[in-house]
Amino acid sequence: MSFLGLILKNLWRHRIRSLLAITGISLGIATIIALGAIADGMEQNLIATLRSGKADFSIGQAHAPMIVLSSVPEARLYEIARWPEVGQAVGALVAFASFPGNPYFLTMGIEPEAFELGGVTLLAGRPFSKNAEDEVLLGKIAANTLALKPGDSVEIDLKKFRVVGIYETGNLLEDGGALLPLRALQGLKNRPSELTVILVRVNEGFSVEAVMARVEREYEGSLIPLRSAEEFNRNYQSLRLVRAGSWLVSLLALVIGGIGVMNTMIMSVFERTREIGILRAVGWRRVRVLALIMGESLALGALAAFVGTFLGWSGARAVTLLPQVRGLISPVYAPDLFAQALIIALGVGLVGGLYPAYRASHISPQEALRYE
Amino acid sequence: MSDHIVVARDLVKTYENGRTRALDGVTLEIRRGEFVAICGPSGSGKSTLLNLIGALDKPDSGELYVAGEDLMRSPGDLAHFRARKVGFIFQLHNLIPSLTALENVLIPTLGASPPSPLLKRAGRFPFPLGEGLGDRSDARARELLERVGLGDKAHRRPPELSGGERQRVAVARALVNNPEIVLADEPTGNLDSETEKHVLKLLKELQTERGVTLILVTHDPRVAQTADRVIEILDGRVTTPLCGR
Repeated sequence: MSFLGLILKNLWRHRIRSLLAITGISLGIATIIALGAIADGMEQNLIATLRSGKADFSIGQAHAPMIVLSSVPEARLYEIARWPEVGQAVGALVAFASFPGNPYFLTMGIEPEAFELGGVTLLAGRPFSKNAEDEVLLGKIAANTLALKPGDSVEIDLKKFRVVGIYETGNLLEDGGALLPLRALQGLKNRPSELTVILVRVNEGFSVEAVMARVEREYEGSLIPLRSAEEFNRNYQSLRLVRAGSWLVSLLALVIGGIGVMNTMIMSVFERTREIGILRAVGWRRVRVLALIMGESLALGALAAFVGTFLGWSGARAVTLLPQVRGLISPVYAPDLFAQALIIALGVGLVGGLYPAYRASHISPQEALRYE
Repeated sequence: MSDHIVVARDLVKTYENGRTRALDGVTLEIRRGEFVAICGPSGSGKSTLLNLIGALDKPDSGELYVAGEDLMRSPGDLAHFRARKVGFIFQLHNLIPSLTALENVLIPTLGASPPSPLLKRAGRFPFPLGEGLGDRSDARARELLERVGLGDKAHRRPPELSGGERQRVAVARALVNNPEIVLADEPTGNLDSETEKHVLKLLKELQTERGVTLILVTHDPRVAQTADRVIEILDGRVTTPLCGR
């Protein structure tokens, strides 16, 4: 028999109670995994959307509260496009619009000449005309979900549009959305001369970093060049809010799970007072009794981490199967998310086990042996 | 000094802020390898004396040397002392009901040494997962169970054993760490007379075989008679032995 064996055996003795404690923690862990994976997926897609294609970098509004709320004056596009080191600069307006059965449909307003820079490949039909006011291209996933093909009509924000083609970019959000002529979307959203991002391709022989530095210098405080996911994360509060929300859920899980574990372990210590007295009488040191109870508590946390991870993974998968969110959510299971869940589950075990373990280690063997 | 494993001088122990005087100046000496019965009526202080000798409690005053350790001056809770030097047998056997007889015998070894390497031998699922404290402890526990006549019941749990068998498991547990001294508090108090005889015979045999010092607390003169020497306690003091002689 090993120390670990004894720990597991003690949990097994009160399996219903252990199971309830594990269920409590694992639900918190499942929430963390599912929310985190969905948030990570949305974040990655959104970032990929705004720096997609063959652009070297994007330019957005500095300190915008949300990435889709970035507002860049269209005039800046023309200024930057004239810089000798810039090969091509195109603007895109990103907005959510209401489609039949989906009030949060991602639409991008873009000029047809920006398709290459945006990485747009036409699968069927033709591109829309530059100044067309009622033409739309549907992403592959959106066309499938809505069962639309070129030649059909669709209502966007209560205005009728004609589907002229189907496209693919390889990005889940984009392929689940629609492309409109820039002017048409600006008109539809009542945001004239406004862009969300500018996509920039730098001429050969020029340094991307130098051009980014020039953007920063010339538009300090109003525009910001963005290339990596980290730069997006740093600049946009919305992504930080998602992270903060995830951590808040983690904290709640820690507190609720911790109380559950503490209750379970205190009951267990109380019931085993005499038994702990025997252990102390036969020579177990206080620290060994402490380790036994902490071990049981941490084992509860570790088991809950595995159960919760599985539940969270299954939950996030189940959400992606809902027709309302298909094409909008693609959970990303990053290793650090699992590490976060495991640390929180073990933290719950640690916090919940501390007091019961302290109490157990301070049981007097002589008094415990008299305990009925 | 080395000839005596227990030396107590003027031991005093009180409870309830001094209102109850459990031991009132006990002085005694016990030789190494001796079988001594501490006899006395209920509440005489004999179990208190046993608890002090076993370092489960500390005297208020006096001097107490057990197996070379000055228990009055030793700091901490003396768990290491109990683990290395003392084996306990209790009246109610005090086995852990969820563990097998073998695991109960092994319990003191888990407290005596650092934890074994985790998952060293992920054998019989779900328990035990590791090897415990190694094959030596395991072999010794099995040998002791054989010796007390329970070799074939090593994997039975206490509820599946009779009262006498449980007490024999407790005897094996008391000896697993090779103690110098075994303290038995009314070890046959809950047994019928036939089983009592068997357990006492076993204790005496093991004490002789292994050369350990056996101190047995009892209120029963018949049990006290089996010892080499009887120390009688009355009202917290050592008196002229009437119990066993």
